[in-house]
Order: sequence, then C-alpha cells, then structure tokens
Amino acid sequence: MPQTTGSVPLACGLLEVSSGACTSWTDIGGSSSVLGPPSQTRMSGEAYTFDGDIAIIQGGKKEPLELVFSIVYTETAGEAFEYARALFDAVGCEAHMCVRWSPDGGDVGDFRFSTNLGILTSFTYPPMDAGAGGPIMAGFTLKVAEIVITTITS
Amino acid sequence: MIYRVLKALDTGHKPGDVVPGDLFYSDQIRQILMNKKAIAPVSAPPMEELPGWSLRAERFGRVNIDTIKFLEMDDQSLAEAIGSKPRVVAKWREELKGWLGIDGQVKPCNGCR
Repeated sequence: MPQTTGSVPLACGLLEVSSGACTSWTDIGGSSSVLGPPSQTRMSGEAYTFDGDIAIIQGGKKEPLELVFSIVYTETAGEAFEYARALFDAVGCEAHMCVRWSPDGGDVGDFRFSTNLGILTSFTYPPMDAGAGGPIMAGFTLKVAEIVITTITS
Repeated sequence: MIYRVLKALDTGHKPGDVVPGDLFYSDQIRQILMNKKAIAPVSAPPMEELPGWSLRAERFGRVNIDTIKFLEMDDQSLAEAIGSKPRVVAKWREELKGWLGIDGQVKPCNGCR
C-alpha cells in the first residue's frame, strides 16, 4: 500500500465544550493547549482449562475513558479555565461537561469526535514559579462513557 | 436527489440511512461530503426497467415523477398525483425500496441541528 497522504497535523484542531443538554458549544481552542491521547479499553477476561494450551477469552463492555486537558490559565469568563472551574465547582452530583473536537479543523467533511455528558474528575489550579518563564498552565480531566465519531455537515 | 449516508454524520444519520438533498445547506457542502465519501447519490434505474413496473412507470411518467422523485415524495402526494390510494402507493414504495436496497425511509432532518 502506498504511503498515505491523509495525515492530519497535531496543532490545528477545533476544540469545543458544552454543558447541560450539550447543544450549545463554546470554542475554547484559543485558551487550550493539549488534549492528551484519549484511550478507551474494553473489559475482557479469560479462563483456563486442564485440556488445551491456551486461554478461553471473552470480551465485555467498553470501559469509561478520561480526557486530560492542559489549558492556559486566564481569568477571562468563557475561556477554558473559568469555564471548567465553574462546572467543577458546581454543587451536586450531576454530570458536568461534553467535549467535541475535530483534529482537522472542523470544516465540512472533517471528522468530529464527541463525548457524552461526563464528570469533571479533577481540576488543576494555577501554579506559580519564580524561576520559570512562559504562561501559567492549568488543566482538567473529564471522565466519559463514550466517544462518537461523525462527519461534519455544516 | 436523495443520498445514501456512508459515514455517520453530525446530523445523527448513520451509514445506510437515505437522506434528502435539502438536508445539506448547499451544493458545495454536498460535493465536499461526496468527495470525502461521506455520502453518495442514490442512483436508480428508470421505473419502466423494474420488473412489473411498466404500467406504473407510464402513470407516474405522465406527471413527471421518476424513480428518485417517487422516493422523495410522500404516499399521500403520490397517490393524489396519479389518482390512486396511499396504501397502494405504500406497497409500491416498499417494493421499490427492495429493488434499490434501501431499508428505511428517506430520513429528513427532524430537529437534527
């Protein structure tokens, strides 16, 4: 098979978040830096028998996955830090946030990866370091049950 | 024109669904999605080519309804166009969909955006 020409750059995607019914989306790409590679596993188990040399394996349901975000610390409403902080701090046990991202930029025809409503399981507050340069970075982790892939049509 | 969905769309339509062309905002968007092999136009033979459809083709042909237009229209409108009954048209529709390998209905965008 010839070498692919369809690779996609890491640095030019579209990242959006939403809460509640997850119908109205906020682009936080201007204040977000990294979405770590989300990896989902499927339950499985095995058993051995006295006869036979190999395991008997069966699979089960998909397990939840965690999306880890590294964001730029700002104090601006609507940007990633303040958006996620407000949801993390919300009182109660309800799910917090949906996320969707399009690695190729979010144009018509590009793939979009969307989560269901998930729980913010951790939130990283801004550090300080007198010996360092660069912007302060913060972060959050979102635990979700599934990621759905669709093609953007508008 | 109607289209078969090849890749899951953000409208909620899944591969195998058949959708109307006006689901998409513009010809340009339709073309991009076809280029990306996310949708493909449903191609259908003339009605008279389908076994047992020559007389029906004649009736629909008099009111300029071809195979694709038949699939796009609802049973009531089709029945009124040729002076038949909706339940008869519904049976013809199932037969036609069988010939074309279309499982479900042509699925519009009902609150999908």
